[in-house]
Amino acid sequence: MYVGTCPVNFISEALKWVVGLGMLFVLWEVAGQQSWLGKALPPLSSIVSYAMEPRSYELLMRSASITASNALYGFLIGSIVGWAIACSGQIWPPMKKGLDTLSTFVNAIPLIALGPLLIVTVGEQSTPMATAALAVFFTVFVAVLGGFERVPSVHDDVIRTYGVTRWRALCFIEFPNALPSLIDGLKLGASSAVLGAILGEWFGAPAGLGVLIVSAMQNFQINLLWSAAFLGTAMSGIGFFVLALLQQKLLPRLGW
Amino acid sequence: MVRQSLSRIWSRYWGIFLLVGLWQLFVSVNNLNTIVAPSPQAVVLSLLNNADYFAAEALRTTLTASGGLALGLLLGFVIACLSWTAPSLSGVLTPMALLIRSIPIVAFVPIIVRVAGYGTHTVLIVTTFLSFFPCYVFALSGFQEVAQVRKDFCCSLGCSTSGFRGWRFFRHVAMPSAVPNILTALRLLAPTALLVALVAEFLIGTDGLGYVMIRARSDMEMDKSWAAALLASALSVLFFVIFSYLDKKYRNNWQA
Amino acid sequence: MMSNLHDVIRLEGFLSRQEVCMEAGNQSTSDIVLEGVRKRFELAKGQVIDAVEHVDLNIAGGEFIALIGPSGCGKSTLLRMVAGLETPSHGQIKIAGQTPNECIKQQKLGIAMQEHGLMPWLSAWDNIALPFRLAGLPVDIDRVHELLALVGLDEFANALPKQLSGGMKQRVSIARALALEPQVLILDEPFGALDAVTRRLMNNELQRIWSRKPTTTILVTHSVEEAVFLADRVCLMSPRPGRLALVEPITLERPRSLETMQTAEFRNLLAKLTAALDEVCMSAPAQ
Ligand SMILES: Nc1ncnc2c1ncn2[C@@H]1O[C@H](COP(=O)(O)OP(=O)(O)OP(=O)(O)O)[C@@H](O)[C@H]1O
Ligand SMILES: [Mg+2]
Repeated sequence: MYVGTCPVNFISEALKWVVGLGMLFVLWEVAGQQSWLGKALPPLSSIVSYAMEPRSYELLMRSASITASNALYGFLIGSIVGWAIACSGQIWPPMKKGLDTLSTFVNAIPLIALGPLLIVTVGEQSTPMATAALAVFFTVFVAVLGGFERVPSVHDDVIRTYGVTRWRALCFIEFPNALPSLIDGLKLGASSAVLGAILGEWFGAPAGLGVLIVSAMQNFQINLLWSAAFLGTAMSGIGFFVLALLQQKLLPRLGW
Repeated sequence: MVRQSLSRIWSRYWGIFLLVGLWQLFVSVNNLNTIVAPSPQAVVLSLLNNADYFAAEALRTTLTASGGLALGLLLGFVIACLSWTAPSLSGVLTPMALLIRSIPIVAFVPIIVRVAGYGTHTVLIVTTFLSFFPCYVFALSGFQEVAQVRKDFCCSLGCSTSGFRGWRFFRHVAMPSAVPNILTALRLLAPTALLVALVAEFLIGTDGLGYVMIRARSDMEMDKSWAAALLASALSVLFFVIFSYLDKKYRNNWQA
Repeated sequence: MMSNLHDVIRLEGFLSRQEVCMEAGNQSTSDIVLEGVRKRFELAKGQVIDAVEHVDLNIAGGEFIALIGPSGCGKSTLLRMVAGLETPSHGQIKIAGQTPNECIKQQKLGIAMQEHGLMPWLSAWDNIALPFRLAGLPVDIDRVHELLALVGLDEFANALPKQLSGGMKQRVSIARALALEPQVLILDEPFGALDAVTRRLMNNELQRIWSRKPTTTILVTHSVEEAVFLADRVCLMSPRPGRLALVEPITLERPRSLETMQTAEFRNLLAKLTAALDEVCMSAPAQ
């Protein structure tokens, strides 16, 4: 019999999730059947059966794939740019203070306030990608900067006493140190990317989950609305899960 | 003296100046009409010319956002208190809070609109809902993170440190020690609360900055739409700055 | 006449806690009896650690005991058992005939640890008042002021812990332990983090505080000098599993001062105990 500490913890943890989610779903189904919240909250079963109908299935999948590609490209662009800019502040210290202020300010700007600007600069078609990229950019940028700040001062001393160049210090000391918080940032970025893509689609994009959600809201297509929302959730959930897996498998291998 | 402070401002805020410069450059190089993309002056002029109007709308948005934030905080705090006395509650709620963190909730405002109906109260509900989970998580972990020495000290006075019988411990030790955590939650949430309020107004509202943004755009008053966006950003930054200040100020007093 | 008045006041319950204690004389201190006390910790995977093995000790009411011994020998564990924070695996501890748990319910214990554990958001005054609040008693304002004066911090009543030095924080912590007029005072390396000079000053302070109202006290320390300076008896614990290797009565005259530390008697005791400590450390089984 194997009773290590880890698996037991894992099982009880998983049990908590299953119980919590199960309760939520049951509650939902009951609330839907009894229409506690009116027509707006249909029972889960009716949402699922609606989404499985061929016509709505096709519509949902088409929209989801558009949003997914927007979110994915946005995620890639945003994380690379966020990472690069955070590093540039490290290489050229005079820039750092300004970068910090810029980041806190830009981070505070509501994404939706950037819509009017983006449709002019990048066009309505690319706005979802741009908002996704921006949303990811903020998360990753902040995470990487946080990681740099956590470089132990012992290492700082190593850098100084050995006269290591900024560039090498970044590659060999600071970046490896910031890696865990970079991946943490990427994990949060998964949901930011989906959020950004959906928000961006509200500014006149031709198709996508965001478009679907708004039109379903306006035309009272409740089942469609919920299915689209579920797809969006699943998308960010998968992203989160993949990155969490990466974090668990990759980081230990790199000595974390 | 003047030069020194100028260079200090420059080193701190060059990013902001750069953004404004780029914006101006973009408008003049492309020779854009105000209807497509207004220049910085046009936006500021519009803000000044309609100062009363904008002030009223901004106040409305601010009130909604801070009201929702306050309600979410209250709810999160109360439920965290209950969880502290009855740990099984946190067993169910904590996984849900984690799950919700990976869901792009803001994108699902339309659903809440459908459930709760059009109107300001819906905006309030959404903001409350969104603030609830982070406040809950931060508050609860604050309650639970009382250092062992402090717990020992309380035990040695015959004061129970858990459950209902520990309410004195809770009131005098656990609750105050969660204050920095709650301030952090507020700091992180303040811009989000504003974003949610704006998004809700944008989609359904009949007033508020989010509504102005979309209304002015459909009226072809681009300068007005951008002015609303700019004002919303400024508000958000202000929220962030205020809460960061509070956070910093009080966190200091919580370090022994 | 005067005594008549006193009786009347007492009958009507007008006397403060402290005055009643003073009247009751010896009742304000308690003797502690440890009988065959053992503590075994269960680690993961069925491993166990014997932290304390068989300690027998009788402590008289009002006695000052110092506990020394190598690191990890179970001093803190023993102390935590007396304070009711851990339960012994075997044996029993009785404080004035009661179990530690009954004692803490009646607020008969005061503890101060190496980490001061003050609440950072409370001023020195409020930190000392905290025991009243936690025990659900009305705050005795005069008592709190008196304690602040006792530890020489009356000017710092409104200072937050971060505004106090390390030694001042420890003094607040000791004042806090004394707040409810405990019958037993438990001190776990309260001056461990202080420099040698401050430490000596604090020892003097502690002696002054203690001699104003001799309370049964158990002090854990790493400094043999401190132990000899303060204690009525010094107990030396052997390495894990901890037991009492030596109990040395200290008959130096009180009040002890810096001059006392120069006397031959003091130096002899110091040398003897240091040698004994070295010996038990050397004879430690490889860990
Ligand atoms: N809660 C616990 N669980 C498991 N083992 C413990 C626990 N507390 C103490 N121990 C073990 O008991 C032994 C004695 O610890 P204790 O803290 O009493 O030592 P100590 O004499 O106070 O040492 P020091 O002088 O360094 O403070 C140690 O080996 C420690 O690992
Ligand atoms: Mg110890």
